[in-house]
Amino acid sequence: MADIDLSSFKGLYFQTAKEYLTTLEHAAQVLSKESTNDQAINDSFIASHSLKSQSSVMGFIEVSLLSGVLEKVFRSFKEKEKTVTPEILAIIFEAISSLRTSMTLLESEEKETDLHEVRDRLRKIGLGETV
Amino acid sequence: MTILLVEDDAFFQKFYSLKLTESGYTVVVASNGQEGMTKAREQKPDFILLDLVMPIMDGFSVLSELAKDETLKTVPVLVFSTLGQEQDIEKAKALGARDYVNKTFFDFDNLKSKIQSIMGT
Repeated sequence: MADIDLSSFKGLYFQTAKEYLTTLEHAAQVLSKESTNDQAINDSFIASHSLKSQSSVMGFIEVSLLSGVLEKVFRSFKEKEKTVTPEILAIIFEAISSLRTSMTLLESEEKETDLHEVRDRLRKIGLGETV
Repeated sequence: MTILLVEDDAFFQKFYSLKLTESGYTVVVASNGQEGMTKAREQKPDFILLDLVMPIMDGFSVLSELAKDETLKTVPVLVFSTLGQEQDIEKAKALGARDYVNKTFFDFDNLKSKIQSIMGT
């Protein structure tokens, strides 16, 4: 990565990251009522992709990795490879909640939360990967 | 030289429009593919930087629309990607994208060098 002073981007990062989390929360609520809602699936795919990308730039690796797994899960829904089930949705809700908590800690204490446990379960349940 | 930057994420929009402007390019920004097509038709840019994952109209649809437009089909397009988008890059190239950069690397020198190479400047 190029040598760039990222401090001036921090405010914008937290503002947009929280907006992406709100989008994810709203879309997950929609999917809990209507599991095939394409708009909610696409909104979630875009939000998790963007959160992954900008968190990677800021060096917030845990948030970036978990968002990246969410992106893969929503991509699999978008491309009709998998369907939304209550079991997958439960772990998605948990992942979003973990991201929200992590974001609060990052903003207040600049401290990353270890998210590997929820990430591994999301990979296993959401993507069928062996972890 | 006018560059149309089509990127929905405010974070990346700010960084790349700032750096491109600092380098002397005139930058026109669009926040989704649909707005990007409108601005491309209005402004006739010399070069397009295009994100692939966007709301309303994604980058693939923009590439398809550009290819059908007689006045825009020769405008070079460089796409933004992230890690894990290897298949997307291949699809974008098949639709006419000239090259790609990983936008999360924030490597402006690499981007500038690719723009200059494509434009022959």
